[in-house]
Amino acid sequence: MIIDMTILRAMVNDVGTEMFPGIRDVYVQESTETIERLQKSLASGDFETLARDIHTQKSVLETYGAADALEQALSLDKKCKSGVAVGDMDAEIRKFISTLAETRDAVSRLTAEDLKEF
Amino acid sequence: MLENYKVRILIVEDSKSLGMVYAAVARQLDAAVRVAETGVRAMEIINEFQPEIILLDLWLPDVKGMDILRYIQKQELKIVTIVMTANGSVDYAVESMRLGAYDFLEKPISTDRLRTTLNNTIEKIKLSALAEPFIPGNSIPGGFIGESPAIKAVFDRISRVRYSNASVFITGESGTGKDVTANVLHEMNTSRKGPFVAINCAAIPRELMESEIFGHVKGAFTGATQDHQGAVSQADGGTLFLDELCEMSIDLQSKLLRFLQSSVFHKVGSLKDEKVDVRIICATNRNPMEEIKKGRFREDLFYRLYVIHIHLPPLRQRGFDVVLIARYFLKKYSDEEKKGFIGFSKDAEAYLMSRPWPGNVRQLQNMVHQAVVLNTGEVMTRDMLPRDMMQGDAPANENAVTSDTFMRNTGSIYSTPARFFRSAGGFGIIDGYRISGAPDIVSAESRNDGHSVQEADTGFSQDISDNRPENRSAASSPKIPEVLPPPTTSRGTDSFSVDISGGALPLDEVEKLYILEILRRNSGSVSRTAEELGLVPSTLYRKISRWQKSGEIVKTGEVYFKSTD
Repeated sequence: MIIDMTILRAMVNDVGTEMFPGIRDVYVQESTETIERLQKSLASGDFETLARDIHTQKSVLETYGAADALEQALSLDKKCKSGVAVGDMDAEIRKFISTLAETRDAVSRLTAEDLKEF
Repeated sequence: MLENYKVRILIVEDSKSLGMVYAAVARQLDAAVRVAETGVRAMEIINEFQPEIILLDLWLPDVKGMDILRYIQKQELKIVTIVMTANGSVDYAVESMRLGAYDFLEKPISTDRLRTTLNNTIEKIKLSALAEPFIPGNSIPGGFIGESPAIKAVFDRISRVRYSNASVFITGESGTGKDVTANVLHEMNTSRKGPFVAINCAAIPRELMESEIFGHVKGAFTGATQDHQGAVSQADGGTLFLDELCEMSIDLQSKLLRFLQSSVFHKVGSLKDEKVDVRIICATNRNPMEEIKKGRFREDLFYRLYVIHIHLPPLRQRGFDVVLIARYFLKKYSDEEKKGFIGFSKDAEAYLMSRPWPGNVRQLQNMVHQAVVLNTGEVMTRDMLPRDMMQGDAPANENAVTSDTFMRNTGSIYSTPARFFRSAGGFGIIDGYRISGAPDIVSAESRNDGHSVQEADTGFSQDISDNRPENRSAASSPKIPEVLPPPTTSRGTDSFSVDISGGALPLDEVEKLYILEILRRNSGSVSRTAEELGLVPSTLYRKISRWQKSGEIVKTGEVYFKSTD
């Protein structure tokens, strides 16, 4: 599931649906920047930046109900904590980046109307 | 005034989108909010915005969140810090609490949980704004020191009633500051221009007390060689403080009651009516209800005086205030005695916090004074503290008004009455009790958590030593006292039970079960649980850490479970 709408809807209604457009746009921009950094870290083998971004994404993805991406982030976070080298996580990181992009695109299409509680 | 006050909150979170969500929640609480994505930016905002609350992510791109905590602690900034991290290690929690963090939230943080935590913190900040004038050094009379919820509730009460001329009834164990409170009430009531006159009813011989209070005319009795203005005349336009009121004789209580009803009195030996305008504050360390029951105190006088009640918590219920007060006296007596002490060692402070202080602040004051006089150095260590002054676990006066006995009888708003009863099935029901002593003895010590009671009740406590398994014969059944309904509080009527049908549980097991239950009720909030249990949060974190490491408990979401559950 790319986005668990129950979770996202609950969060948005909690902070106010009028806030969603702003939050959405910031999330989309932030995701784009994170994707770029992850690609750079993968290319350069920068473990520290990679680990920090994955760690941060755990909380972000859970807050936004991004179920698939969250599952992958949790797995990667565990591997980073165990000291697995960047190269050994290559395939998994690429998959994560792809899922992040999907998630970003899904969120970008949502409107406040989509998230109003019934 | 406080309704329009916006608490300033800084959110330090490197994820911009998360920062927006947290900021939205904070703004719903009518706070002024700023957000920083880096540690450097956070430090800039701390200096220019002077936040009162910081929501601080520990893992930032440029600096460690712990370093920001250290900075706040070192600079002694008055900021309440709530730490957030996705790393659920309890070691982080303990370390951050040690560095002064107020609370610790594990990510992901639900908006609901964040709102509750921020709301509680904002309320405490606003209460502190009321209490600020009572901290010494701010040239406010009285010299109250304290940050514990128990004493802040007192500050709040004093603040609310300061302009009232209604009678005040102060209760509390010996040495809790009843006279200080009376003085503060007088000083804060700027509408009264007259003096503060104090009479200690226990210190005056009974035969002279009427004269001391109402005065006498020349020749009224042998030795009355001239007219004497009594305390009520001296206090005209001001405040009369009657300390140890329960020591007053019944006859004089009648005269006092008449005076309170009409503001008219006459001196001993005189028939002339005199009228004064006096605000009455009285205090006792006895339990007035007990005194009434024993016929030593008039019930009508009690209810005449009991318009505003202030109960001073014992020092043992004030947590870290013990250390704050000890530090104050250390500085005071170091200056007076020309000694160079600058502080206590950590083990000395831990020792101070572990003591029961039956003599309360006065005992602590005397102990620190003696320690300063008898020692030299810069740091007061544990072995410098006089051991002979640290003995005793029970109030010296067995009829002393402890918070639970007085509150139980009068339904004061300050605590939920503590009660113990046992059902026919042999289960022990523990409701509002802190467990101490032997496993089968439960001490009746109420929480001082400010929850209101809906009823004035006559709860009781029971020593269940006669029901210990080894004392029970196979044929006997446990005595079943009258089962009282649980107290009605704003938290509902949940109870906590421990199954002892198979025999008594080790005390530490009961403690663990109790703590887990309170944690569950607080949605896993360690700081709220610690506050309710009268513990320092780091102590509670260490217990949880130990149980987790030994596999005795596990954490699922925000809730801790026994591993065998």
